[in-house]
Amino acid sequence: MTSSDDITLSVVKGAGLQSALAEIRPFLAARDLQTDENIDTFVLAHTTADHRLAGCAGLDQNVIKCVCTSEEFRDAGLSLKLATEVIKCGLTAGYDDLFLYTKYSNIRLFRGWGFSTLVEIPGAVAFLHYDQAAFEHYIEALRAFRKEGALTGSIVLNANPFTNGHRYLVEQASKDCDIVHIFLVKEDVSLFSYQDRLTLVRKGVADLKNVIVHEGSDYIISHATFPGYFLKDRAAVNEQASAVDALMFRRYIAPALNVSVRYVGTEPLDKTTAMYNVVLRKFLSTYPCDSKPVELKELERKTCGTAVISASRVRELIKAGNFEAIKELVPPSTFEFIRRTHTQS
Amino acid sequence: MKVIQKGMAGTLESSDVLVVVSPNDADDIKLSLQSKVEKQYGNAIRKAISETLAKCGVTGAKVDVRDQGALDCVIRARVEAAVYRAADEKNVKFGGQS
Amino acid sequence: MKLRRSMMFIPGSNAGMLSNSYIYKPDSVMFDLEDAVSLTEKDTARHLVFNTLQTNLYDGIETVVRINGVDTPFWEDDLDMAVRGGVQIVRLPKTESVDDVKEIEQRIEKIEKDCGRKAGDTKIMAAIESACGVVNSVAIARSTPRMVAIALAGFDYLVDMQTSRSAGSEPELFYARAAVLHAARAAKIDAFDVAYGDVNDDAGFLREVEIAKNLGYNGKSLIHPRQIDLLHKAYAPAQKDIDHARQVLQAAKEAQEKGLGVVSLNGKMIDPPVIHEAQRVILLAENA
Repeated sequence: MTSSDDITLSVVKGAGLQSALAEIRPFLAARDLQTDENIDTFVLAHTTADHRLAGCAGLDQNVIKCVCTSEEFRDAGLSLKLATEVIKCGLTAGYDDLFLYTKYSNIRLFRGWGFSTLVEIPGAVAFLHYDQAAFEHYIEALRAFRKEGALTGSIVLNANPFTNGHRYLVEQASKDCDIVHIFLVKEDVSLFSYQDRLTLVRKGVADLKNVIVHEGSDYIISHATFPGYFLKDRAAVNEQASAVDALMFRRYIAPALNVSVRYVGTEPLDKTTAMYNVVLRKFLSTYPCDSKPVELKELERKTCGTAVISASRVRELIKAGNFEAIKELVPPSTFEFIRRTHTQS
Repeated sequence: MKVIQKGMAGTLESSDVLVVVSPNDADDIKLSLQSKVEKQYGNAIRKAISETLAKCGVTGAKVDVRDQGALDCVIRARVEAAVYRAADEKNVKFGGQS
Repeated sequence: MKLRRSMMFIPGSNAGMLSNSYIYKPDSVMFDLEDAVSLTEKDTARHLVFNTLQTNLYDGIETVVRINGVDTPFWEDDLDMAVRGGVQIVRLPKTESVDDVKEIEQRIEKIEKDCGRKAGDTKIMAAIESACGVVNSVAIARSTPRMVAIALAGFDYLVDMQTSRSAGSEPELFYARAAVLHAARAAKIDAFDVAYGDVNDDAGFLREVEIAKNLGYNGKSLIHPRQIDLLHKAYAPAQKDIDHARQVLQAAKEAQEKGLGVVSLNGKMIDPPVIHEAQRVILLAENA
């Protein structure tokens, strides 16, 4: 067995990635692993003597992927060398926490890396993260908003941008419940920036006194918990991918805030969201889990004329410059914002 | 020293420790420790960390420590190095000789 | 008298090796801040080595810190850490001239003064790694009373000489080995032979140890702990030499007790250097 002392580590990203992939792809393929195309950074381990690839670990933003070591180096500390470097890369890049998905059988390996399990679906997948302290701090901060004995509802919104459809959903929840927690998706990949979306949601629900708007986080519909949500090719999203996010909500966020109902709109247009609702219901309520079930209430989508109101329709109208039509679909605060930011051109 | 950025030192390899020191809005030390030998040495490790932070004059910081069975001197060294990096301080004052 | 057979290299950035290497009981341990430490870990290695020096892990083992060369931006910080940390010897890599030694000597003097360490307490070892270093080795060896040993380093030297390691009698190192050793002996200091790179080749290592030992080297630089025991065994004196040394020392003792100025054994007079050599043989035997 070769000692891990004879290993040289390197980090490849950006322009260097393409040529490195020529070496990585066959290395992973030989070990029945697919090379994830979204990886932006690879830590590579080569033998110092003859520069053979001995192991790799990739980062897709804050998610560690494609971890693999060559057979001759198992048990030789190589995995911990890779771990140190890939964790340093992730934290240096500015991420507060790092995540990874793994087969149930590999949990032990990654526990050795200092990762802890957030949720696991036995026989399928486990979702782990690095900074348990940061996560506990986040949950603790949420707990400050908890109201004992109150009927508590919750809604997770991307609100790109906030429409009358969103407004209707929040209003209904606000009427049903004593208190409603709204979480905004933090990921900044939408037409409207996270900060703008947050501002418009806050303005749009300001009159509803029992509604609290929370900032998004890595732990709720994020690149880490639900990568499929942000994919262009939404048909590729499978059940497992959204199960983790649903279980995160049920196990941690709902208990912290005493949430017993989650509200979503029915989805006649968008396939991902439609499938997401089905899976969401299963993992929030019927799936066996040691956390209390959360009821999923699907409300009929609000319509304007014959069509349902959707944020994607609003974005199309912005593109077409049809501001009059937008006016009917969004609250005044959202309309003002769109007019101000999109009419110069 | 004032912690102004994330500073890391150490590794996850056996007998070493990975220390991440980051800024903290509050003026206190938020320490999280994971150790293979928490049961036997948890208190000694915490003492080594807090003494080292005090020696460096750090009063506000988040400190994440992943211990893989490091000796006391290694823990002190890694915390020190992470603090200097987190404070972006290049001019190291090594203490008096033993 | 101090034995300097084995000088074990330990990367200053390797926490595990710093924590454990004392168990192999080398005569000297060299914490490396130079080649074994990547550019991004020079700072963390200093903290590790400093804190290791504050422990009693290496009590009874001579401590050496190899600093980065005077042509790098690191050597002053390295030296500051090493002297303040209380290291016994500073090893200067790639020593080419007396000026190189003088530069670090002045710096050491200043740090000793600043931190309250006794003036002259920090010793120096010069590593000779080039043709220029070899031809200047006599002056380098005599350059300061702090100089306690010089070490030949083969890798860079052979590159400089436009050759490489051969198996067998190693003619490529013949001149350098002889020259550096003569410089050391003329200056009454110790000399270390080159490190042997192939840690799995015991036979090759031992062949080289024989050459160094027969030439008169005090010992070798070592890059793997398993070489320590091999080296110490190879340096162990033969039983007949031990017996003879015991007789010499017994005779010296008796002469001293009788107040005799001259020591003799079996009717032959014994010179002080012979007594000194006998002491060395016994020390080697006791530590084999």
